[in-house]
Amino acid sequence: MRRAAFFFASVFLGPLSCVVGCGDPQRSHAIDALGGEQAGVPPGPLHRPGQPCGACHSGAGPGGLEFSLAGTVYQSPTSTTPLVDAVVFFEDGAGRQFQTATNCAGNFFVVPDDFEPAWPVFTKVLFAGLETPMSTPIYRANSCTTCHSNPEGPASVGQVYFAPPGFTFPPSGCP
Amino acid sequence: MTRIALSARRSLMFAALFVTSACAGPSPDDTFTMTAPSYDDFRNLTGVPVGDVFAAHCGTLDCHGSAARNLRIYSVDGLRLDPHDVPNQKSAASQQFGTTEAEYQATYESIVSIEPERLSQIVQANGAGSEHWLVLGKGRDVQDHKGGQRLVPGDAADTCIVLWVSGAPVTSMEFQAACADGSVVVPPGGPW
Repeated sequence: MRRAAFFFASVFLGPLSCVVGCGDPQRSHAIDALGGEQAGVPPGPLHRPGQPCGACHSGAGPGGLEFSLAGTVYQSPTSTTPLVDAVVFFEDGAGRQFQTATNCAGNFFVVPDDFEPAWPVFTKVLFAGLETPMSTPIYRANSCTTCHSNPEGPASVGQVYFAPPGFTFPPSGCP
Repeated sequence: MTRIALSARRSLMFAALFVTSACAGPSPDDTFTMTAPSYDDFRNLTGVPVGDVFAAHCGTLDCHGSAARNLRIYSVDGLRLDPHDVPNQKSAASQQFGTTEAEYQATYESIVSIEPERLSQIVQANGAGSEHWLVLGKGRDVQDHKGGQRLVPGDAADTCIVLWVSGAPVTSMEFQAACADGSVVVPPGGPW
C-alpha cells in the first residue's frame, strides 16, 4: 500500500507540480517588472505603450493574442507624444511586404495570421509623405523595446521615433 | 583466499589503473599558445573592417549586440562598449561617429575566444577546416543557431570571414570586395 502511494506520488504529483510551478521565470520576471495597467486604459490595443509587447504577446505568454511584430512609435526621440496614424512598413528576408498603422496610443501590432516574417525584417515609418527607415534590420525581436527601450544607453537606441525635435506634427493622442 | 577472489581483485586493480591512466588530465606544465587570425586584417584599415561584417550580420541589439551573449559584437549600430555611448550616435569621448577602436578590439577578442584551439588549427592550416569553427557553423546554421542562417557559404560576408581566418592577403581585391559587400545588409527588393 505504501509502495503504491509512493508510486502514485512519483508518477502523477511530480509532473503536476512542474506544470503548476515550472513556468518561464524569465518571462514572469519581465511581466512583473512592467507593473499594473495605466488607470483608465483597459487591456487592449491602446494599453501599455512603450512596453515590451512580446513579454505577454508571444509564444506561451499570458496575452490573449500573439504578435509577430509590435511596438510604439513616438513623434520625436524625447517626446512622450505618440505618433498617430503613421504607417509602419515591413519587408522580410523573403521579400514579402506588409504594412500596418499606429493607433492613437502610437501602438501597432501584427498577428502571425496576417504576416509571419522570415528574418531579417527591414522596417520604416511613413508619415506625412516622409519616411524614416531603421538603419539596421531586425533579426529576431518581435518587440521594438528589445532594442528601443527607454532610457537610451549602450544597449538601447532609445524609443522608436519618426522625426527629430522641431518637426511640426498635427494634434495627437487618444480621445 | 580462493582463486576466483584473487582474480576478481586483480581485474579490479587493472580496471582502476586503466581508468586512472585514461582519465588523466593535461599536465600542469602544458601550455596552449594560440595562433589567432590577425587583428590588423580584422581591422582592415585600407578597407572595410571584418568587424563591420560581423556587426551587420550578427551584431544587432537583438542578437549578438548584447552583453548577455558569449559572442559579443560591439559596433556603432549595436552594443556600445563605453557606458556613456549610445547606438547610432557619436562616441561621447571622441565626438566621432562610428565604431571605436576599443569596440573593434573587444569584438575581435570575443570572436577569437570562441573555440580558440580549433581556430588556431584553422589559422595554422591557412583556413582548412574553417567550416568546423563554431562561429561559421552557427552563422551558416549548420550547427544549431537560434538566429538561423546569417551566412551563406560563398556569399560576400562569409567569404570575408573565411579569407580572414585563412590569412589571405588583406590587400587582395577578393578580400576587400568581400568585406565591403558583406558589410551591407539590404532588403531583398533592393536598398530603400
